[in-house]
Amino acid sequence: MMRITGIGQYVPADSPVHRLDAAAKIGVVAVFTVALFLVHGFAGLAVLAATVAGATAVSRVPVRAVARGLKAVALIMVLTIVANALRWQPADALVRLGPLAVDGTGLRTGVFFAVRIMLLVTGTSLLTLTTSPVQLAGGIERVLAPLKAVRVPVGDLAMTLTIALRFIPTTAEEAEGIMTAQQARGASFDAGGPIARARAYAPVLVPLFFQLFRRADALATAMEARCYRGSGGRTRLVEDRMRTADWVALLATGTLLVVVGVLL
Amino acid sequence: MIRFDSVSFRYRGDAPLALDGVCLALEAGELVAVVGANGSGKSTLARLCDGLLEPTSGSVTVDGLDSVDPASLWKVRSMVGMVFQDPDDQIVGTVVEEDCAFGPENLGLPSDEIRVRVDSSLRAVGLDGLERREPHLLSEGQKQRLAVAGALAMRPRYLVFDEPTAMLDPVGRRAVLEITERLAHAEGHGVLVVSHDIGGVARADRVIGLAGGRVVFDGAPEGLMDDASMLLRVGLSLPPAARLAAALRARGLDVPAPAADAESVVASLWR
Repeated sequence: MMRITGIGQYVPADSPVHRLDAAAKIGVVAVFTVALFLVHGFAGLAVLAATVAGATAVSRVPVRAVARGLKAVALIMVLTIVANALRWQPADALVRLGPLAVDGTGLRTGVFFAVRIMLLVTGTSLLTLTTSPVQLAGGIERVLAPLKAVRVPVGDLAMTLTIALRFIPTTAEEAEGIMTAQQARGASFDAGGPIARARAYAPVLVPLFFQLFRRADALATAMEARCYRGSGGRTRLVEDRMRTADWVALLATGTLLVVVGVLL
Repeated sequence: MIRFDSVSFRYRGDAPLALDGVCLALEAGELVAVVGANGSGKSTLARLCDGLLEPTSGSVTVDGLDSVDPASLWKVRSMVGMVFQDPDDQIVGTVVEEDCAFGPENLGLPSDEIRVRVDSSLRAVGLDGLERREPHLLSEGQKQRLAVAGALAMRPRYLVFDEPTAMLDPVGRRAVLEITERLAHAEGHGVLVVSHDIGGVARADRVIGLAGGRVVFDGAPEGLMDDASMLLRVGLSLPPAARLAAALRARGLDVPAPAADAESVVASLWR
């Protein structure tokens, strides 16, 4: 099996955060993000940071998994601080480096933005870390359900998403099979510079795409044979719905938004 | 009854006929094998059974319902379950039970009814206990049994298998063939198995042989096994034990036909 581990990949566990309804979690993250952009002081930021830390602790997701997301944005965070802190001959310089200087106000602004990015990444990755892809697809479908009124095929989109998730391991296996076959004929995937290496993948991608189209066609036939005719009139084996805990979580985040955005 | 009434089919306007004037019937409780060389039209025949293809001429009816009439098409598809060759091409769900529920979900059944059907279908194919397993972690044989369960969950009267054992090892093949036999004989489904597999032919009540899109044989498996030129025509070769049995029979030994496996040849020789 090819390793497909990424940022924010689902970590199965039985925690109150995992048990929350996917639609509620999407709502919570949305409200949290708005709060993060409304906040205008370090006090509000501290409250939000405490919220993320608390949620992480309750979710039983290893801190390492949450922190992994920060690696990807570390450079952006550093650049944000540097770009804000460095000024050309400022009045209240902390440290002077020739004509350049680190400016106190600028440094504060830079750190503020960097922490905001950090909380954005960790807060949102907590959603995907605690929600299985299928639940997430179902949650997205329910959150977007109002768009059905303006003829957006929400159900079909969710079905497409679910099938894409289902075929990730199958496609990975297939890609590995093709790579092995090409290697057996002398292809090499790890020689040369980045361009040579990227070019080596062309003989893998072409047959892989060919296979995917063939499979999509066969799958469509099989789905039709099982009476799939669009998402209208479909029911679900497990009907997810919002329970008390989900409403409480959503309400709590809403309160947090008001407190942080308006009061702090 | 699934009934083909002089059905002809071509894929494009200028293509040769894939099926040419096929008449046949499949009754409930009957296990029928369809054999034929590559390109003989057997997969086409399977896809015509539930309106996935529309006959160029003639008609296909399922319990009297026209398979391509828009008014009855979906009823027909819920009455005829299909299982295809490659299980990876027909598994939609990300876990076993979710895939099994796909058909009933499409029928718009209430959740508790879907649950009942999923549980009984998975039990019927021996996949109970693996409800939350991801499909790519199943063996090929288990995947194909999941495809069967997915078809069964629609509670169809008829089941059509299109080369269900082509990608399986001998153990998986036998398990699937045993299921086809039980579904027909113990549970009264009409079962049509399109197959290259001589083992599947021996189990059938009746064999339909196709060549060049025409029905060239329709009768008991014994009749086919004893007819060497017909076997050749429908692209089948006898397993070594059956060839030996036929050769012994030709020299006057009393070996019963069809003797598809070595054990039964040995047993009859040691009598």
